[in-house]
Amino acid sequence: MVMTQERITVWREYDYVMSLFLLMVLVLGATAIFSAAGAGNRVEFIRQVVYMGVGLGVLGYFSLTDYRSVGRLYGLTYLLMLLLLVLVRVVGHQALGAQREINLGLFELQASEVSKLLIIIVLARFFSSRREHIRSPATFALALVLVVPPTLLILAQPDLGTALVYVGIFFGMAFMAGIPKRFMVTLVLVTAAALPLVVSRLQNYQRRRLITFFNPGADPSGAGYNILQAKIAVGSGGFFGKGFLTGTQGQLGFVPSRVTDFIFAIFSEEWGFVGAIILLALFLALLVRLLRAAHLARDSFGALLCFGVATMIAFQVVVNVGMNIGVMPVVGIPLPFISYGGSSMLTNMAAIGLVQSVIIHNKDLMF
Amino acid sequence: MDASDSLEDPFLPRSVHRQALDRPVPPRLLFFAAVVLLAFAALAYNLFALQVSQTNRFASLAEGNRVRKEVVLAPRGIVFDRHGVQLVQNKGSFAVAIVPADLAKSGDARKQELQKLQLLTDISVVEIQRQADLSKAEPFQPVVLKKNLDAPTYEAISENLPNLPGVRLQTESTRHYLEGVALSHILGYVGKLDTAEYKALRGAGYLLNDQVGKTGLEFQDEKYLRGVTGTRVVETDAQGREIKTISQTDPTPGDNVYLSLDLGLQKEVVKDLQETMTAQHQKLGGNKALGGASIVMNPQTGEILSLVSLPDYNLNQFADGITLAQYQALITDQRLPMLDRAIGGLYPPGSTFKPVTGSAALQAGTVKAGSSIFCPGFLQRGSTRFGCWQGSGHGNQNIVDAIAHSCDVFFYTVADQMGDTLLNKFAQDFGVGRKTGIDIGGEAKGIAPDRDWKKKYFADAFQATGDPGWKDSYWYEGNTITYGIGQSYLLVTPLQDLQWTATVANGGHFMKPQLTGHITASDASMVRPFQPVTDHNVSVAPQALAIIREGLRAAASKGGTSGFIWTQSQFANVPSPSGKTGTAQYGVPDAQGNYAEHAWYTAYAPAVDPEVAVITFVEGGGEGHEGASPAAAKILSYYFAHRDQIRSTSTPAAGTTAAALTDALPSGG
Repeated sequence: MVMTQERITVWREYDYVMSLFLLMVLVLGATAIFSAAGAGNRVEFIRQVVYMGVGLGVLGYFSLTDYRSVGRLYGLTYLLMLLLLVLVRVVGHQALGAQREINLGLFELQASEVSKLLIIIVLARFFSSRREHIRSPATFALALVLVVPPTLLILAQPDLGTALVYVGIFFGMAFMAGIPKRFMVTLVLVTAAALPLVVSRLQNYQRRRLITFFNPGADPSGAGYNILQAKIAVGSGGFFGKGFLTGTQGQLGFVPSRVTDFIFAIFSEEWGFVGAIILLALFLALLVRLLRAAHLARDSFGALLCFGVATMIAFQVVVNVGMNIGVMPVVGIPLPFISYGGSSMLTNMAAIGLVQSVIIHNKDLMF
Repeated sequence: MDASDSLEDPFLPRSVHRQALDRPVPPRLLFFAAVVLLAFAALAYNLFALQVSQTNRFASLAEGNRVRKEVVLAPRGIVFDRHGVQLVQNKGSFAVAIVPADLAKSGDARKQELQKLQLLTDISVVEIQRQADLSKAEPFQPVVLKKNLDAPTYEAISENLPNLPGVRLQTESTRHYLEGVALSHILGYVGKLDTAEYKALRGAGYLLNDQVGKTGLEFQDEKYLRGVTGTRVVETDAQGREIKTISQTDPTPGDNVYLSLDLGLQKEVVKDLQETMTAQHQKLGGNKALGGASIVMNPQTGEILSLVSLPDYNLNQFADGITLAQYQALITDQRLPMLDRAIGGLYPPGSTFKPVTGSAALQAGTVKAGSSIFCPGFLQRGSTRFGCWQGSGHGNQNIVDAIAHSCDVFFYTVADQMGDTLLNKFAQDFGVGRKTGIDIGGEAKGIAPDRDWKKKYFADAFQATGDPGWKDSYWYEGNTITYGIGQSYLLVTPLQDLQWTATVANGGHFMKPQLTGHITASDASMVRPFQPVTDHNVSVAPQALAIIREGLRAAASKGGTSGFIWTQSQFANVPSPSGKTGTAQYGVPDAQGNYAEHAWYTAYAPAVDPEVAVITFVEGGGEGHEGASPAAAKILSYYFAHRDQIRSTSTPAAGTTAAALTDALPSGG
């Protein structure tokens, strides 16, 4: 009888609307990879579809897992995250001047992708446990103690993009948890004062990207090339786009990092303003469902978990699309569910799964 | 599972959630939602700006990325001899080129790519970088790094192309000279534009990488040979690799040039001149008789039937890209193979000038046809004695005798009587001291000397060098006297010498010498027919010239200076030859007071209405009758043995276009 009750609960509470939006995003993502990988190269497309399939399984698994059990082990989760980030420094696979992946044989795990979700879980659990003392400076200080070490580890990889996502998640969740705004403003001011020091420690390629972000025309054949070619792709797409597989900027290889960072440019070139707006609208709808889940959550941990996931996805979409259209610096943040990559896909799927778990287990109170 | 549950809308489990959703939404959630909405609105606004407002601008940028306009070079026109025998060929070959704008962009990748390229082509990184920098203004124009790739190099590069952005293999047309040696001075060569040429010619549609005629006919007839370039619009990828051709305008092949030259005769002239030079070199030793020139022309039309300067050089060395070592060897060769002696070498003409002195004297009235001058073997002026080549003297000589025997005293005397200014005026009328206007470059003017010339020339030379040898610019009587026999300060090219001979032969018409016969378009239609050009008529009465011709005929007859050769049976096929020997002293005398001598011979035949004139000249070749006339006799004999064949010309056969005559590509990949 308990089994039946459980099954019925899942069936009734599951947010199908969110899943529908997610599936639509995934379909658009699959077509974008198909086009961006280029004719004659179906490897990335096939792999991405496999990641999607596995990801849906992961989503289902976490939907059925009680999110509270995930939160209960948050000390262990935090240590696992630090271990992953340290491990990647030690045995990590060197790529493009950065150590980001741990070779798991079948799959190269990008520790920084996975850690995004782990920090959300840790912060959600931490803030909810401190609900009584949320306005205390100690709470804010402890939260910083939790967040700073992994952020520095990620920055050291170096992976500016993920570090920025961390910062976004931290501020978003701290805000939502009810941390007094003056604490956060103070932190921002202190950080801004310390920024020159950070910039001086940035890798050359990161500094160059920052500089070219502010003046992409300075060196159209060098570092500004990426930004300019992406903008040309998007702009030349026009209102209705050039059509599937017929975007010259993408198909002829003018846009760099086509399946990863700049896949939105490829998509926008072929599907135009109409396609780009539809994709953004789907993301927005997905975000609304995530916020709805946060609102639905029966406990503060669940609400913060959903909100953290919403923050992560919103931040990544805005920065990635922004850098594709030349209004944000190129910092290497993937477009969730669209950019090629297993770690990112599985992390995001697990995140949605946890949100579904929050929704499903929301009504436990009613029984 | 109860019935009421099954009636619920499965997608909106509101019975459960109503309570939760009915809770007031926390302001922080609303604030966050507003921020996200605002951010998405900003993205949408920027997308609108890019994709709707500015889409035309970006569309044209994308088109510019994708589409590249390329120039398709026209096959260069072919050069034939007067009968349509092909003299040059466009040879297909593979070349490796770089498109500077498409080379790897980041510093490290660029370095690696250039190093790889150095490994594959043997061209240094520094040189490749220099070539890339040269074309900064046109970074999408391919720059050829290396031509005539051999098959292994071609294949090695071809395999590596995917890792070499901006590197491409292209087909090239290089000039191959089928008769490279015999025609080196006439045809000239084509080469890559140098910086100055590019600046001057880019307005005319020449590309940085283009070829242009550098010397000879390749230079002179450049505008005909080049053709009209076509264009090709191609789609390329980001690495600059061609994906497909979008549109194409075919180039128009260059026009074909038919020379007035007869290749068979040219080869005969090379052979005969070389034989004479070899014989004289063996006899005289040292650096004697190592250079020579010979020209055969139709004196009635100015058509050059053969033009040879020895030694010559291999044009294909230039066409294939001459190495510095090869070039150094050529320009430091003591025998000056690069000098076209026929039109660019300056020498005293010696006695071959006597027909000019004679014509002038007759026209000026200095001598009458029948009047004689006594030759005792010398002419005494003050303390100076001007010797005749025949020390024992010729006795009484009228002008015909004087030419026949080449009596120096006769011409000393008439020159002295005429004076330098008048003689020089006639000499200039016969083309001395100015270019003949032959249609290839490299012609020298020479010196037509008189007292005014000497004053100025010596003063200038003294000014420039400070050498006291130039100080005395006074024109002595001896300068005039020796002018009469083609010495003094007189310097002429072999072509100038032939020109006055031909002018005497044809009755006074100074014809412009022409190497280019007719020019046809690639579709075989006539672009420019051959047209004889009379430069001017000399101011000497036809009767006077007839008397000179009488002397020249006598000179080539028994008893004349070159009679011995024309009485040989092997040359009997030459009808009524006329000719003048010349033995010109040059340089400084040796210990015994003997000068080195150039050997000259000018001749034409037949005596009436001559149709062929020839000059042979051997530098330091000794006496004219020995060092020059044997070759001339052989050449004329060959001419008359093949007369009808030589005199005919061919009109182009249909289909002999430059394109059709361009070789197929070598099978390399």
